[in-house]
Amino acid sequence: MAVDSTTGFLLTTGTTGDVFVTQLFFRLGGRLSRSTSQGPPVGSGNGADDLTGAGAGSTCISFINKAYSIIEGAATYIWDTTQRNVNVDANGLLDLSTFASTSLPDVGSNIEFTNMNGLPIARVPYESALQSRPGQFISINTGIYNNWYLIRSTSLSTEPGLVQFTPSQPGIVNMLYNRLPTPLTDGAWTTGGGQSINISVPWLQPYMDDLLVDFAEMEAKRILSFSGWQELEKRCLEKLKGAQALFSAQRKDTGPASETDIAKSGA
Amino acid sequence: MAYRNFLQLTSEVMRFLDDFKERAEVWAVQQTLNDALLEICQFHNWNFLIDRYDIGVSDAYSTGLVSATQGSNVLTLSGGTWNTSWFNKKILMTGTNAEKEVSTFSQVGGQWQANLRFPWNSASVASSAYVIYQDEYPVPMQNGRDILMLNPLLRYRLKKLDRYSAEDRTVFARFTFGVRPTHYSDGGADTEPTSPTYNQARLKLWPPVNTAQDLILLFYKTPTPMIQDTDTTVLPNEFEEILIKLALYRIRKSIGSPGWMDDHQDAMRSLLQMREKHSMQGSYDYSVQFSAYPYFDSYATDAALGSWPGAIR
Repeated sequence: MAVDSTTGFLLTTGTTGDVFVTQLFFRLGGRLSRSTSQGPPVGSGNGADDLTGAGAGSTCISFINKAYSIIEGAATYIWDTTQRNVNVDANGLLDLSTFASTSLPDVGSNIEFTNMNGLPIARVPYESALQSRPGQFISINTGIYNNWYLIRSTSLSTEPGLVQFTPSQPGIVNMLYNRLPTPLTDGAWTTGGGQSINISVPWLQPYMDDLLVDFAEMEAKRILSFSGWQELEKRCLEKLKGAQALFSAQRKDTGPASETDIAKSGA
Repeated sequence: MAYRNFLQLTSEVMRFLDDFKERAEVWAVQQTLNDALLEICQFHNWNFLIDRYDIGVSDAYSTGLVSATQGSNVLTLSGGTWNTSWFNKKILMTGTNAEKEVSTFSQVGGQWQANLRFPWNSASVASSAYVIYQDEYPVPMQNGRDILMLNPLLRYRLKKLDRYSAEDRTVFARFTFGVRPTHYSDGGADTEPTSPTYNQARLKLWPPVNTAQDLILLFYKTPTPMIQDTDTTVLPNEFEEILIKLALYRIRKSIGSPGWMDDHQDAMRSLLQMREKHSMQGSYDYSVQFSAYPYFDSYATDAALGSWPGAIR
């Protein structure tokens, strides 16, 4: 976890990848390599099995990111929920690939749109997407969007795709979505523009930090055939269930499951 | 006046549909709200729908001479000027008793033409005197929602006859043109597609009028649909709950969501109560006021006497 070195309090930024790598490196007794040089996250000549490519020769960060993706893919967490106003083009399209790489939408989780006047825009299934165009209604406000659906980008190379709004006209909508996790790197790296970047996890919970390192350790041990990974996996999955219950973006109660039980029993 | 505008009404209905499985598209909700508004307004002659329209009665026109060929839909004019903006007009040749409806007027090669709705089947006529007149006037009202028509200049009420009685009683005086019409009846709807009032209700006056003047029509208006966020209904505030419930009933029924029967029951119960209330209030003033006879309340006097001096019966 990220802690202020003076006060000992939690910082308002999450833990960065190099901290996790240090922990994993220690837990595995140094039997996996860590970075010897820094580089950008993806697509800069790193190994094919290196999910993030953070630094040539960093095997540790690969396992950290495997664990990160397992955790992030298991639920839609409250810390990934993002809201923003976005511009829709003249054809009623919103290209999700134009979002910043640190806030790309997860199209597998819930996405909500509202018009700028607050009226919700319904998501429609493909089979009825074309049944509700302007000419099919009377006495409506055609200046607002009625529905939306996801379509694949026509370029077949930019993901995660496009949102098609009805009617096909330019405008601005309010978007609420869960972002995809940004891969972690083994320390800060400098962009081509000279900016120093060190990605951190989106949570402050030490519980989640521990889960991440546990998962990475389990994955490493499983792949390297070290003993004890089964027990570790069991423990990780239990903790993951807890994380899903506690931090889900769709959670409606105000406390952990045990609090709900207490409320029910009156104890 | 209204409690909620269109945006707020739409939001209110959608709030009841907040579960994602129940969500309806916003346009479906908006259309449903306007449909429900129409349903409420047609349910009763609500006092808040009373409106007025001044019917601008037209001068007759008879300059020039007209020729007609048997079997043709086209009449031609010489020596006058017609107008392409004329609709719902009729033409009567001097010396005949068969007026023809004119769909449109046009000018072809400098020649004014009247395009008849039905062909001229009498013998051909060359250079006949004529009169173009209008006794049927489109009004911004649904058929059957008129209250009465007044002549403001002479301060009398036109008698309303059903169309059969009107035609029956005036059949020998169809072309007794007059300055002040005394009767009116329903005139169907404007039939000319190029007319700006196409398909609007018409009222027919008798005697056929040949002098421009204003007549006042009082009627129950049709509500204007809401389109923009800030648009409001004509409904009093207390009707908005009915509007929301009726819209919910329609939208829930269409998307198969439970609860629509309750919505309908609640809405109709309230609507009936409102109708009773409005009817009772209005009836206070529907008694004959003989105290001021015969000066102040011509409507009551007319109703009490059963006829108006000069009435055709």
